[in-house]
Amino acid sequence: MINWISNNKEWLFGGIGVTIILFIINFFIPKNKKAKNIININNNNNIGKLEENKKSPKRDLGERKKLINILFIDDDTNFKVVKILIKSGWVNTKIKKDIYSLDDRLVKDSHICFVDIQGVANDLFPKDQGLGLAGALKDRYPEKKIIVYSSQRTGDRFHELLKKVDATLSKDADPYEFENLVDNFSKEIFD
Amino acid sequence: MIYFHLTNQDEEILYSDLPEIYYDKFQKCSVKNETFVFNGNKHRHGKMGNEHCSAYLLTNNKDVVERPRLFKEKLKVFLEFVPTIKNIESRIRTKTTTHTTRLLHNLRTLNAHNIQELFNLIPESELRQKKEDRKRFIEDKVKEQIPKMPSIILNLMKNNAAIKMEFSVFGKLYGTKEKVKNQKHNIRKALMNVLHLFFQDFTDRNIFVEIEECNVEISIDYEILQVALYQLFDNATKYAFENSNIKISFSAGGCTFDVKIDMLSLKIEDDELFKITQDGFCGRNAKKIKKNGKGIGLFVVKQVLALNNVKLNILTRIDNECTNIRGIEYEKNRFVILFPKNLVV
Repeated sequence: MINWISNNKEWLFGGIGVTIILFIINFFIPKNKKAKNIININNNNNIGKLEENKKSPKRDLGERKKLINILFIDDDTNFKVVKILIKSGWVNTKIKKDIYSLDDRLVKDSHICFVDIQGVANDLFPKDQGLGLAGALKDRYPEKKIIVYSSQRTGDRFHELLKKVDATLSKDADPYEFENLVDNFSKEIFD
Repeated sequence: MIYFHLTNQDEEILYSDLPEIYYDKFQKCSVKNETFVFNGNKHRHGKMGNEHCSAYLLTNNKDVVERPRLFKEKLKVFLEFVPTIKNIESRIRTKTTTHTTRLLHNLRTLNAHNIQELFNLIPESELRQKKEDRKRFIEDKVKEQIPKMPSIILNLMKNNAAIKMEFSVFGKLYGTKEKVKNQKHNIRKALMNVLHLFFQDFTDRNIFVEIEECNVEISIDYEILQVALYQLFDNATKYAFENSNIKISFSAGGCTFDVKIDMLSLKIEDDELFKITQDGFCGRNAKKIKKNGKGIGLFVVKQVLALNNVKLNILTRIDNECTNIRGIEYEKNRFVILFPKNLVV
């Protein structure tokens, strides 16, 4: 074994080798149990801590993952990115089919809010739907990070909104892109 | 305002910016030039035609309303320009159709690969016949073929990524020309995200990829970076010599941050170097080993990167050696992506 490792060390410790090793290690860690535990612990503790969090000093990724509240507003509640974010440790990620008031508890508690621009906020903004909602959320809560995502990416109104919100993503963006945004914004929130 | 309304012999509208409130005026107009009062304002309108079409002009612009000769001249010029306008329209259409046809063709091909991959795992014919628990049937089929699953999943992932690349290229370069959206990304992480899609292709050809450590963060449009890296690695899987190493390193130059990809790959002839990033160009050696594509890979890389002010440099024969393997010439080539320093976070 030692011989094999020394013969193959270049390969093993090169990028792909490390990736494979991590993959293998990951495979043997019983992830589900772990994830479940984290969810249970944090769901109980984390409501209403928004103000307190803002004044905190810089925090590491592990801490940020537990403290940041992420909300997706999307009529397609099967949107798997939510599950993927939870699996990768952003345990306070929730999805809501629609919201009927800007004072919605989940909205108020969130630090980062993803809004699908199609098919949501039909009651609040019958004409502009998600576009209207995202703009209104940014007006009401300038300190929150508002991200719009959709499969449609053109139109004058869309470009107007781009200037207002914090970021936009395409609906078919890789989960990595969603997570990278969350990571970047969570740093800003705790800075 | 001056409004135009153009119809063909069958009275189909070819072009019109005439507001609906004036339709009645258009219908009733039978002269080349006359004035009328509408909603308290003086207007001038007129109709003129030839064997192909009929042009109608209506205006409430005071300068034109008061000058009948100017109006007549405008109407005449409008009619004379119809063939030119039609020509421009058809040229734009051809150009757009070429890109759309290419997009559809590529998407169809990739989708076909996905469909075949899935139905090869679970035969459609059996799926059709099975009347009881379909989920159970699929579960059993998957269990039977567990060793094949990693390959199947990797292929599906790669095809899906390729589909996304097609959308990105079209969206950024040809369709609505979407705006560049920069976000902070760890360059090595972004690179690994694309590289892992080619894991299978590289291992099949016994090519090892060595990547230097790097913690540099770059502010860039992720789709652009993804497209560029995808095309470069896709080329590498085809043109790098089997059993060789690809080395990826990072370095800060004078006013750029560089990602260097070094590989022993198909010789790029000197006269081809400047053509290789042009649309539709394929290298002679790629044709020789019958691995030539449509010659758009590096062209696309250069074009998308330029949107972010990022450059692609290609250096050939960096160690001055040429390796001849079974009549095919290979050289150490270097592909450098140069990020301007202002993008480095």
